[in-house]
Amino acid sequence: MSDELIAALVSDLRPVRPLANPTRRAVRFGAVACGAVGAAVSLAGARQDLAARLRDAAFLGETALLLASFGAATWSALASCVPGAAWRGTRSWLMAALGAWLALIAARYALQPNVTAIGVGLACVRRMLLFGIVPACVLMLMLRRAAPLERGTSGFLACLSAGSLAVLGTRLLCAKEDALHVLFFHFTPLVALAVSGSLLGRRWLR
Amino acid sequence: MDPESEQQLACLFQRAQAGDRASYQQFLVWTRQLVTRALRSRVRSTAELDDVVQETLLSIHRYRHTYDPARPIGPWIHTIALNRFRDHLRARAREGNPRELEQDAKAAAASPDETATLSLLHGALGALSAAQREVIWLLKFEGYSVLEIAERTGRSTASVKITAHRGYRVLRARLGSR
Repeated sequence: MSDELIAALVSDLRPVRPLANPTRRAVRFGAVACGAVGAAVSLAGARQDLAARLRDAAFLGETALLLASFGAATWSALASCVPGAAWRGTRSWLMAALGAWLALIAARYALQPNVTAIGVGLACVRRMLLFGIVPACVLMLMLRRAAPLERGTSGFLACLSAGSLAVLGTRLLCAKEDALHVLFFHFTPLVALAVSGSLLGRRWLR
Repeated sequence: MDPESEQQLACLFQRAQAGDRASYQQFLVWTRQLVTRALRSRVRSTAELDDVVQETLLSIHRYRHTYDPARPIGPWIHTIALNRFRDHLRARAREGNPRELEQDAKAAAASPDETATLSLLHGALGALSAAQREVIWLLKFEGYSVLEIAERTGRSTASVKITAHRGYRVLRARLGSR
């Protein structure tokens, strides 16, 4: 039977162009996705206090963590679809970045314990979906073209990447700094998006 | 795998990526031996081992564009084989041992209750994709040859064989789950 299979595979052989390595593809995707979200933020109009926020260490730290999460998740997603590539080490970096962001939110809440107003955050969730949907679809298509052997994990990482960039874009628009608002309408949707990416990946990345 | 063999295997596969069939044939034969040797101690029966090896070869064929010639080929093959082995374990855990259950289904087919068997087969055929169902139907029920099916459906003979192979796996899993 396997002799027949080998004969069938050989007769089905067509020349293929090897995929570029994950780092190169991650850089290309990152540049295009950041450019697109940046343009969308410019069109929508960035928050009024952005100049002041860019001098705030906590805001800059949060931005850096989201960028780190975006970069690490993008690279890991692409590398997870290349058999034999060593990508699992970046998972701890990803968890560290998200954990540090959560710690920053907790610290902000600890510094302002009287602030309990969550605010209306559905606009933030909508923005996140708008900013995240195209990068998520593009990244999923890139993964599908490669070899998604661990479909759930690859889908999770792809949506975490797109979600991190979407949260970053949302943070540039949303002027609400309440810790609970950030937790419920920025952090939680990111986690939900990543989990749904895992479910989607299992079904769609074949 | 020693470095010299790995180097030779990588050279064969790079030529295969460029479309060289003779190199690809040699590569697949060597890879089949390598994967069989690597998995022999982990898989219980020869038939199951053959299934995993064939699935590995199919995946190698499908994902051949993901091999980066700048990297060693050993881990690339090993990861694909290991993933196919894990899929096999998952399927076995989910459905019981398909081969044993397939034998049960065959035994049921030989029993007087042919109506139930036909209904079982009908359900299993329903789980196939349209292309798989067409190819298997023409091959097994209408008695056409692979070449005739290829002409009739406008596919290559290789594509007919691969579609049939995939369909058999679906049928095996489906019949095994009943």
